[in-house]
Formats: sequence, C-alpha cells, structure tokens
Amino acid sequence: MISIKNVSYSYLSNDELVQNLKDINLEINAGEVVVLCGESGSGKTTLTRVINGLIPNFYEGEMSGEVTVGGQNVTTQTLETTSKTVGSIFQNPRSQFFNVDTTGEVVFGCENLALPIEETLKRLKEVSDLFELENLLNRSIFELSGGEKQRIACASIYAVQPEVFVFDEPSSNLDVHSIELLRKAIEILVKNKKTVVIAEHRLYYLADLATRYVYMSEGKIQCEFSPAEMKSICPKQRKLMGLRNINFSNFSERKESVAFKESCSSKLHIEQLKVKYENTIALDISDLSIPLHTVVGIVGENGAGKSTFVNALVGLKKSNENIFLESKPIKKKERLKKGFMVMQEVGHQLFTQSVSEELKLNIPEENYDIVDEVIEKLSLTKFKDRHPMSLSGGEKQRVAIASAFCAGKEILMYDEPTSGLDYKNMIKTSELIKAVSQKSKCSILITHDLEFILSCCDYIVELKNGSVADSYDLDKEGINRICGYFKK
Amino acid sequence: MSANSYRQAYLYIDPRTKMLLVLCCGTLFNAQMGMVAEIAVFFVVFTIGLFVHGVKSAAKIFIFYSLAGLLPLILLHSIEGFMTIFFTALSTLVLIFTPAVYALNIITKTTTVSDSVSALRKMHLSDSVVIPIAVFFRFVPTLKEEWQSIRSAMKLRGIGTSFFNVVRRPILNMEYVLIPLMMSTANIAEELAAASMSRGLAKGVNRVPISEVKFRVADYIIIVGFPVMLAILYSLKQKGVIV
Repeated sequence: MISIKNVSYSYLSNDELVQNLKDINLEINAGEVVVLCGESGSGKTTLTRVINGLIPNFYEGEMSGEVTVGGQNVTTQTLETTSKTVGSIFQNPRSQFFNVDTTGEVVFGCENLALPIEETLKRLKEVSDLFELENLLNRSIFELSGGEKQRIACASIYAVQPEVFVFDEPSSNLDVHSIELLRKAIEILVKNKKTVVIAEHRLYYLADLATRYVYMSEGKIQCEFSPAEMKSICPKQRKLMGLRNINFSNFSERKESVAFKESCSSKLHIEQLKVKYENTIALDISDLSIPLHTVVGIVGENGAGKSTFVNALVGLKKSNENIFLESKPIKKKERLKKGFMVMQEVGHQLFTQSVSEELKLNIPEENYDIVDEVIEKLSLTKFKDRHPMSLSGGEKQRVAIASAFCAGKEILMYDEPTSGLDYKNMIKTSELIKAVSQKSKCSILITHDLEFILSCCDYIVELKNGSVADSYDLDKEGINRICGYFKK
Repeated sequence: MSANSYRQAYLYIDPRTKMLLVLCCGTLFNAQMGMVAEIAVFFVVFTIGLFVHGVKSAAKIFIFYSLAGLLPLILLHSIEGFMTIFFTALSTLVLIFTPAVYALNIITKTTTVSDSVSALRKMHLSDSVVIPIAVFFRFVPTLKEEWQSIRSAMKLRGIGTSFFNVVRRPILNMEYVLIPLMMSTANIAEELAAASMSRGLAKGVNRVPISEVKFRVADYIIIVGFPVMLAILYSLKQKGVIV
C-alpha cells in the first residue's frame, strides 16, 4: 500500500542544512497498523509528512527518493489529490480544525471533494453512527474536550474514505479517558481494514492494535519489531532506546520507595475551597492537607476540576476559601505573589528578548545577584543570551521555573509538564521538578502520565466531579492504588 | 438535521447580510450622522441580534449600552466641570462603536466557516481573498483563548494588565502581550494551513457545501430597509430636524 524508497530529507535552519531523514526504505501492506517510535527528533513526524505529501509540497527542503501510496506518487502530485487516499490526524487539536462548528468540520473534506449534497449527508450520518457523534454535532469546536476533538478529527477524515490514515502523536494532549476514546476510534479503522501509520511516544494504548513497530533514531530506521518482540523488550533496554512503557502491568517498578519525611507537620491546609462557574459549583473541597517540600500529583478526568483547583490555589480564579500555609492563613493576593504556574503552553509566559532579561523582569535591582545564582543552579549559563523562544520545550520550562525562583515564588504548579515528551525528556523534567521541590515549599503538578507520576511524585490527590475522591502517600500501597486508578 | 442550525438562535440570515450590517454600523464613524441615527442603528442591530444570536448576548449588550452609553447622556445635565468631559467622551465612544462591535460579534459567533466561504464566493471574490478572510474568522476564538492564557501568565509574573498599568507603560505592556501572542499564532497558523491543505482545501477547488447560502425574506428586508433608514436619518440631520 505504502512504499517508501531511498528517501532522504533535509531542511534549512539558521543557514545550516539539517538532515532529518536518511535513506528510508519501508514497505507497508494494506490493513497494517504500523507504529513509528523513537525519541523526539528521531524523524517520526517527518516520516509521516513524507507519506501524506506535506513534504515536499508544504514544508520546504531538499527531498530525494520516491514515495507511493496505492500506486500514486505522493511526492509529485498535488496535496489535493493525495487527500483522497491519505487522511492525516495531527498532534494539536487546537490547530487542525478549519471550521469552528463540528458538523462543518466532519463534512469539510467531502465538501472539498465536491460530492453531491445527498452523498455528503449520507456519509455524515454514517460516520456519526460509527463514531457515536450524536451529542457532538452542531457544536462549537471550542467547547469540546481533547478526546472529543480527536474523535471528530478521525470521523472527518473517515468521511472522505481514504485508504490510509496517518497519525502524528495524536495522544499528546489527551488524558487517560480520552486516550481510550482515541484507541476505540483507531480500532474502528482497523476493523474496516484501513491502513494506519502512527507516530507516537505513548505506546501502551496501541499494544493490542499494532501489527508492527518501526524504531527510528537519528533519521534512520534502526530496526523493526513484531508486537510479541516489542512486549519482550526488557525495561533496561527500552529505556536505553528512549521508549515509553508498552503496558501498564510492569509499571510498578520504582527505584526507591519514598522514605517519607516526617517533617509533615508543615502543611498546606485547604478548607472550604469553593469555585462557582456559571451558577454550577465547579470545585468544592472541604478539607485537604498537602505535605510541603514534596511533589504532589493531581489526577482526574477532564472536567474533574484539576485546572480550576490549581488556578484557584494560585489566586487566578475567584473563590471562597480558607487556605493555611504552615498554619498561617494565606489570602488570594498573597498566593498570587507567592505562587507560580508552569503552563502547558510554556511559550505564553516568556516575555522578553533574552533569558537573563527574562529572569530580571519585575524584580528589584538589588536582587539581581539572585539571578546569577539561579542561572547557575538550573544550568542555564549557556542559554543566558539566547532568545527564550528559540529554546526547546524542555529548556523553556526550565527558564519559566527559573523566573519563578528569581521572583521568590514558593508555591509552584505545573500543568501537564510532560505532555508530548519522550522518555529521556520526561525523566529530565521529573528530575528538575524533584530538585526544585527541595528548595520551594510546595510543588503541585497536574498530569495524566503514570510513568511520570511514578518517577517523581510523593503524594497523590485524586479529584472527581470537583471534589477530592482520595489522597494518599505514594508508598508501596500508594503505588498499587495509583496503578489501579489508571487501569480503570 | 439542518446544517444551518449552528448557533443561529431563531432566525437564519445570509452571511452577506451580516457583512452589510457591519458596513451600515460603520457609517456611524462619520460624525455627520448624529445621535439619533446612532441610537436608531443600535436598536436595529440589537433587534436583529436578538433573533439571530439569542437573548442572552443581546441582553448583555443592551445593559452595557444603557449603562455606558445612554446613562451618561442623562447624567450630563446634572453635573459640571471635568466630569462632563469624561462622560461625554465615554458616551460618544460607546454610542459609535457598540453597534459595529456587536455586528462583528454576530458574524463570528453565528456564521460557520463553510457558509462564509460560500457567501464570499457568491460575491465573485477570488479564492486568494476568500480563504484568508475565512481563516480570519476561524482565528477570532483562538486569539481569545491564547489571550486569556497569556493574561494569566502576566498576572503570575506581576506584570499588570490593569487599565492603570496599560496607560502608564503602553509600549512595554504591548510588547509583553504581543511577543507570546505572535509566536503562538504563527505556529497555529502554520499547523492550520498544513492541516487544511492535507484535507483538500486548495485555490480554485470546486466545493459543494451542505448548507445553501441564499437570500431569504429577512435578508431582503434588512438589505433594503437598513440603508434606506440611514439615508433618511442622514438627510433629516442635514436639514436640522434631528440632532
């Protein structure tokens, strides 16, 4: 179905030619589900773009070799023609929808094919039954959760009836529940004998669907695995390859069981925290204590109130509450001063021209020596004069955390810091957060990433429907509980 | 299932009619129109918005208009000194701008991207004009989301977005907002373009949309009635019959 022959690709970045793909040869048969895995920058995403023709028809660069899909040469033909045989689903739901309404989005491809209206409406009915969209149609895209958006994306591509589906890290912005919805959507494609190619970091949800794994590094295909071979790779080797875990059951490995610090007399105590949102109570927490100098993980489905909780805690949302830090009451204004949130879109919180300027922003001049200290501690010395926007995602996170330190922030929040990160970068972030938690009073993170939780959290708070369902130490028993929570 | 039902409350009007609404509201920027025309135009747009966009948003805009636009006019008679200048300026701004802003709001909130593409094509515009305009409408809600997130980030850093701060250091404040906003929108724009093209959107492609864009009775009433009303009000003002 898909045949890639001697494909190399390089593009120009800052007047330097960067080679992204080297001599790729790959044959994919009809009905296969091929998972492209490997570290960030290994060329997975680039390979998907070669298959759907975006390279070289949209992204410029030097490409050699030949790619055919169903006998058509997708390298030379227009994207418009390719769109009939290859459908693409992208990583970021916020930027892959052309329409603002869901119905318009589902039929968008059919309209572009100039199908008769009756046929388009017939296909709309068909995919809406297949993907169970009744409750999602005729709504604004902006009201939907990440999982619902990816379901709409799958359905809208399916309506065009292409033979090949290409996914580029479709799960990176999704929670556990949404990933399950995505898995079901892919399952539908598999049942209907479509050919599927997925570039992905998270592998566990694909374990029962994949027919072949292609491992890439440095722009080359290093090796291929059958599902059975993939499952038998030992954890040590898997980590060396920089891959995420393939199934939940062997997650329970955790290096050191946390020797829990008994200094827990110092706590962040929350009483009667209530947030209203358009007349409904979005958050109602009657009593919660969070140990200080530890890393606290907040888990829960979309809409459980996780973001509301951290926003209220950091003083960004109106709320009624009594919050005590080390038994002293701490008001909203003060929390805004002491608190900081590392956002998912970390680019939104970097404002200046260089890293050192960024860290000096809004702090009094006599405190400038702290800045140098923080730069050293967080090993930012070599980035000092770089523009923050030119850094990688993980480096931006580091700068944001550094800026919080320079401003004397004590309560640090992280909003899904590992979404879309590969194994190595996830471990780097987790080590950074652990180091930071020793120096600040409170570190709280929202996450959907079990592997990440096990690598850095000490305490878990489960939220459900706006209130605390459970909270516990992540000791041996706690590990079983959190694994059970994710398996549900 | 009607493809036209997206967000149109009780009445469907053609996107071209909505564009005409904005144009008509734009005539208020000409100082020659006078206050009676300003208020009349508002009530026309308000009535249309009530049917097309729904009661809730219409009620909001009505309350805002009454408090910030009409109330100062009444208060003007009973105050003196500096405050008169302030109230006059406030009321003038609100009277002139509110109808146009509300009309734009009606367009972006009640028109599907597919409908605006069809409407613009019916106006015989070329695709190189149509597609960017359609993308612009798609971008308005995205910009709003990005802006809210950036504002939270600024609050956390203690960079004020309050009125006082913006007045005190306007350029610096603008820079803080614009750098992240431009970076993220540039990214979104590129991803959006790649996604749309991989789904067969291209210049000159013959699209067959499922919802038909055409003028209906309500459209004809607005298209004929609104400009006529403006012309009458304008001539009455020139003759000095109304203010």
